[in-house]
Amino acid sequence: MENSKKYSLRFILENYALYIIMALMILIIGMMSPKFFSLRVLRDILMQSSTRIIVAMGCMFILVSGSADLSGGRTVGLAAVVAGSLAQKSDYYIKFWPNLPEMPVIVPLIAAILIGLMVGLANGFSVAKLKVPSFLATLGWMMVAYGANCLYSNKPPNNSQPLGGFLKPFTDLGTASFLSVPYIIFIAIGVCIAVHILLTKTCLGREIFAAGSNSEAARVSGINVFKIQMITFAIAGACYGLAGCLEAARTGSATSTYGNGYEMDAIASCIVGGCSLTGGVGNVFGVFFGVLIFNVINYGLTFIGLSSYWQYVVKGLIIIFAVSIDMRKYHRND
Amino acid sequence: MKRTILFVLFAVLLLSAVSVVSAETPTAGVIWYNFADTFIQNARQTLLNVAKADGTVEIVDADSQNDIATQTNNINNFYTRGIDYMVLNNINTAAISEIVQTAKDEGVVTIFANTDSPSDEDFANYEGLYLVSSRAPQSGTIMGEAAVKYWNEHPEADRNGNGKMDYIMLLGLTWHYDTQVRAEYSVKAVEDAGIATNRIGGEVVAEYNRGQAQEKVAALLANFSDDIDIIFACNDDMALGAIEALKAGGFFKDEASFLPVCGVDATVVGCDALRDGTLLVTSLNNPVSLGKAIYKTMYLLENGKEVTTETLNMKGATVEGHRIWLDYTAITKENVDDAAYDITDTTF
Amino acid sequence: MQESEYILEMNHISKSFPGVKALDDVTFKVRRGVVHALMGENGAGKSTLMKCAFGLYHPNEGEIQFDGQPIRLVDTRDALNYGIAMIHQELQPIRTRSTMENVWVGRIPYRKMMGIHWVDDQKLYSDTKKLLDELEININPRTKAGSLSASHCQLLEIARAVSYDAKVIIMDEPTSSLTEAESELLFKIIKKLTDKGVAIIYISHKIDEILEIAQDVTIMRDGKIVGTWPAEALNTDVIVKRMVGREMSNRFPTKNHVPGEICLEIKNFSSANPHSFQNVSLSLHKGEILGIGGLVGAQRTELVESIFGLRRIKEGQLLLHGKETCISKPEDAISNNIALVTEDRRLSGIISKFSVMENIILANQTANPNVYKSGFFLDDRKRRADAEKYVDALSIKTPSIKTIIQYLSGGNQQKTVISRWMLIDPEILILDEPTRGIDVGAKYEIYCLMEQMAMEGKAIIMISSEMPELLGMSDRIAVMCEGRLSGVLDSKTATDEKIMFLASSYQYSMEE
Repeated sequence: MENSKKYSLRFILENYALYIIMALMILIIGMMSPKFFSLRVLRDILMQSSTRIIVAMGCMFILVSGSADLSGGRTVGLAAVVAGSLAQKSDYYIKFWPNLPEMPVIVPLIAAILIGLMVGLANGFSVAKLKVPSFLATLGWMMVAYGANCLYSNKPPNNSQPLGGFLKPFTDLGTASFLSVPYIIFIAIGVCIAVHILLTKTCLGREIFAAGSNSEAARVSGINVFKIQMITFAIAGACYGLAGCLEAARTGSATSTYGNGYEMDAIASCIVGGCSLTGGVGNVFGVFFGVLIFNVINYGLTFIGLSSYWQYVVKGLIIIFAVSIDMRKYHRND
Repeated sequence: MKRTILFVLFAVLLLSAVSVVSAETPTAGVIWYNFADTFIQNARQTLLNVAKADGTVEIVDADSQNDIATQTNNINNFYTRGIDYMVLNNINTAAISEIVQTAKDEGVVTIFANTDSPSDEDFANYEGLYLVSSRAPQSGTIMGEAAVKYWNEHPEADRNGNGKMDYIMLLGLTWHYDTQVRAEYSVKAVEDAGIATNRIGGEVVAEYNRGQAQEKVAALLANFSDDIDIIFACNDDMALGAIEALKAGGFFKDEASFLPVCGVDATVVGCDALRDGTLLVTSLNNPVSLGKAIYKTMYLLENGKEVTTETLNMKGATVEGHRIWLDYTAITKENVDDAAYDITDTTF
Repeated sequence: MQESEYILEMNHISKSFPGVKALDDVTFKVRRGVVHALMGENGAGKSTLMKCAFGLYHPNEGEIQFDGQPIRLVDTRDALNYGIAMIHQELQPIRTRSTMENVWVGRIPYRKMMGIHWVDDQKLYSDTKKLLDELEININPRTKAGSLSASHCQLLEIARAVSYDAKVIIMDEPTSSLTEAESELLFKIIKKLTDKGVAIIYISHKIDEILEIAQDVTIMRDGKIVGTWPAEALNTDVIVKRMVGREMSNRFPTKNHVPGEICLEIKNFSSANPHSFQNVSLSLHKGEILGIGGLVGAQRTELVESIFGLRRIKEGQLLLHGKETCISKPEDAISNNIALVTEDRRLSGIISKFSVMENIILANQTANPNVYKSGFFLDDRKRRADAEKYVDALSIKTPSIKTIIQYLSGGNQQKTVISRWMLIDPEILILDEPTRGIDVGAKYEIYCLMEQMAMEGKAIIMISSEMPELLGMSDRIAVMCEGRLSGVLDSKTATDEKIMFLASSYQYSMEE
């Protein structure tokens, strides 16, 4: 009886809803235009997903630890502008820092990650020490990050212009390929693997899950919940920073509007990918596919020439549908 | 009781402070639709710089954050605060008459800036109403005309040979006035020249965002690579995103793989692309002219003068009644240096 | 129509969950106007059966008859309409709303005016007042539910059940969070209800209590009915035997441990919270079990949580082996080999989404991460080995160590939490209500564990609200009342009365 249950249609539908929906989408789009089944499309989708995957990985840490994070998008924007301002050619005529020499690509990369880390630590401190509910704390820091970004980009001689004229090694980060696979995909997958190992194979990972699902029990068991929250927000911030840097590299430009709305996309992807808003649940594989499904929708619907207006409708419906099926898993005890 | 007295005292102090300020120099409340918009930021800076240097009118400004409700709040806040001029970079295009009526009731001289024009009835209704704006449709027309020119000069521009100009239209925000007129008038200019058109991909909304435009064009390119003849973008950022996607898709390698992309705004990075030979055309709505024209209008009114083309005396500006029009300048590789402007210039 | 002898009949009920057959052909009949006790170990299926009767679960097989008529319960609303009400194990009143709103929630009386339903506050108040007066429950209808004590919350639930004009009221461990005096009040109200012809289905682990109030007793084991007997025909031993399915000669293991030298001493402990404990001095010996008794609100939990570093103290000294030690957070306590099994298993004990294994090794993995690592990463084999050792040693009943802990019964969850702390090999183990809501068999096993640890020379502090447990397990009993230590008794000479006296009369004893 157990076995028959395991392979029943309902079981399959409930446990693999995400993958089934994605397969169906791909199949339908492919039927409408067979060109969809090509390596180029796969590469495009993975490339477009890559920065969002990194943002979603950061977001997942926060969700698993039982908080919410709204600062993701604006942190990406801030990091993008900071990284961009440090990666300009010396002969570019409105150089952000006119006297700055050309620097190796690692400098803007590290700077972006540090900026993200700082926003993350500010978030963590507000949540863990000042006890501001994470929803509000991160909303506040989101505004601060955006304001800081506007102030920074408005500095003469830039005056809020989009930053451009990046060094080739920098833009290569986002556009060049190795064995015709873009670096940016390697980076994203590398981040996924690192996050997976951290969450499942280290004490820290287990402590994050414990603190996320029952912080009181974790505290009694000797887990330093303050430390855990600081670390999760810091890691998330670093992910946002990295994503921001790559976003600037990929598009070859950066403005203060970058990253707007990424946090909501990331949260939605995490939930679709099986994270719980109440904390303590989440896995890298699910979130990876959560992001991918959104980008398959974005890309696929544009690919077949469907108007953006319809894309919003389809995207919204798929979120509701995917999550509602997923929820059935947890509510079948009657 | 103590608290009430304190409160009253505080209120009185506050009120007197406000009235002192307003008694000295006339104040203009300026409401921009979005500080994060590069163009708006530059116009805003110019206006602030000019006002600071001159001192006839004091500027207080507010950000509508791209939100109609916020704009409404900003308007009310300024009326409550007490201002002499209202400069409104209006996004609530459906409620122009109501806004004008309120301005009339409040007795505040109101200048609509860089937005949809109030109707003739509105101007008839309130004599303190002005408009300072670029002719928004021009930006669309410039794109369309450049496309026609390219089409006529390059017979190979019809890449699939269907006799139609197959285009992608990258929209900013669909409810945004600029997006509407740029999309409409660019295609109109092409069709007026007798060229049939075909839109690919329906409404492609990229929210004025470079990354989004890049992603959407990449997707469309994967399917319609051989059909696309031209890309119109409602701003330079989206045009540059499209160019990135085209580069990744094998375009812009040599002369033969050129594909015309048109933008608007003449941003610094946009002009860069013109020099590189990737962007076909962009157009400049000079934010410095806008900032200065707004200020000069208030300056003239404050000095009791009439606003005419002559009294205004600015290049590219024409006055029709209470409407002050600023021309867009077409910028191509040839005249790319005309796109430069200096927001720190305070002469007017 | 002929009146049936039974008000509620559940015939041949079966209910399965994925992997478990929770109820297997269960037939259960309740007479009118009696207290019918339903007993069994945790996991025997009592709660599942009652959830079927209340429409929360739908049985896979079998039928339910109410008043001789077969009925189908789609949801709890149906059950309430027939007159079946249930008072849940975990009471959750809407804390921010008044008592009267809580009683009538979903059925607030209203007046219709201009097409709008306006709350009829007057009727709401008077209806509630009448209801509470009838039951002789002394609560002001306007009091916020959040400020009611646990026992009053219980009474509020009963009032709500009565307000539905219930013919059958199911009470799932109503006294588990009540003191003895509060329980007495509850029994009085139960008596009043049965006099009116209401049948009460009473689930409890407290055998004394059941023998006191029940007329019929049904015992379940492993999802099946063992039998139904009149209460007069039963005694504690028989009930325990039938519940456990084996002989249980003794409720407590024999004391073989011998207290040694003092290992923990607290002097003038005062909480940072002025309403909590003040000026408490206590000592604890190696190999000793120190019981702490008192009524709800005596601040016993606050005291032990302060020793463990979970709460702040204003002043006082803590001496470990005669050396003053500062413990300001749980990590400090753990590194000094102190462990605490908290009172509320769900709130601060188990991590419900974690497996049994993860729950067992949680504290040790944090305190000694290197034990479970090979290289930089965690090694599952080492983790599993430790978890399996304790699952065996404490005979935790679980399908596997990878099973998510929330699917285990309360007793097995508790044993898991205890093994978590045994794993760090503490010198001092603090147990806060270690056997609350746990069936008799599991209780005995936990007592044996305590005895065994005391034999090994570990010092144990046990907070308990159950007199027999305090008297049966402790060497000494410290009794607290309203945040003060009102006395320490030697368990050889202590009695129920002495403890109750100290627990309820701090003021009195001070005046003496």
